[in-house]
Amino acid sequence: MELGYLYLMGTLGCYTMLGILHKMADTRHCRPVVINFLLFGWSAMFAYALLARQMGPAPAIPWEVWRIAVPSAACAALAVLTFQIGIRHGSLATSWLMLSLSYGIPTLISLWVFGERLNPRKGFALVAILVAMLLVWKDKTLQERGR
Amino acid sequence: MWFRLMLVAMTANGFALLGAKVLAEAGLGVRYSSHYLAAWYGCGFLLALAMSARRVSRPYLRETVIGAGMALMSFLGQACLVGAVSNGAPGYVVYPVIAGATIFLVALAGRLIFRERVGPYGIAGIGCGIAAVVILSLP
Repeated sequence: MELGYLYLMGTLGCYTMLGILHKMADTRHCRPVVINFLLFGWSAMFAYALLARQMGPAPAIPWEVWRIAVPSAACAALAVLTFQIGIRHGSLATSWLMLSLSYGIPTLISLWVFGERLNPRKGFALVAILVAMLLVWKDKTLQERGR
Repeated sequence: MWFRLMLVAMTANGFALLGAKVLAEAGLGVRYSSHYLAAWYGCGFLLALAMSARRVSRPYLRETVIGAGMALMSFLGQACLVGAVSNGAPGYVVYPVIAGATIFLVALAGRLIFRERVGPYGIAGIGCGIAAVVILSLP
């Protein structure tokens, strides 16, 4: 097997484990606010270690990069926090699905902001996202009625 | 409650993903991707700390270990993704497989590890969602 495909399996394993750890944090009664800042804190350490290895100690980060990173990171911190609070009230499977459906948002914004064209394939995928959300919402409503 | 929280998480995560797109559109993606990642996580840490300012206290050991595990998986996942693309696995295979298979594997883990039950509508939603993200991640 090619090395690239072994890395692909590694990616799948890591991201699946990440989902499992989100649920594990909930079942072990970890506080979402604490998990949020620890996740970013540890990740920042790993990322700075990698950057320092590539660029030497105290690497300078250009202003333009900060300007893009700050709003994006604010959204990510909000996303992790609400996901970690929300997973307490729903299943891991459907919660992870909802988070994964966020792939549709950059596509939608690219259409408006960057003037990308909507081809039939992208249009179908965006409609499928809406259908998936409706089905998950219906499933959750039925589960709550059944309790 | 759950659906509203997940809608917020989904929307916020979508805007967070947009940062990499803006970086690429600004022509900074190749040269400054590691810088961006470090700035992104660093800002995320400070903002997450600010969000928890009123309720912050010393983390418990289990929170520290699980938080470190999550960070490691996120970071290694990203590194493996770069490794996959730069070691012969074509992008048109890598991105759709990751997008679709991760949803499936996490759903499977939910069933096997946490004994979760997902109804027929939920299973149909997962199938539909996998199809959507696989199609979106095709080049």
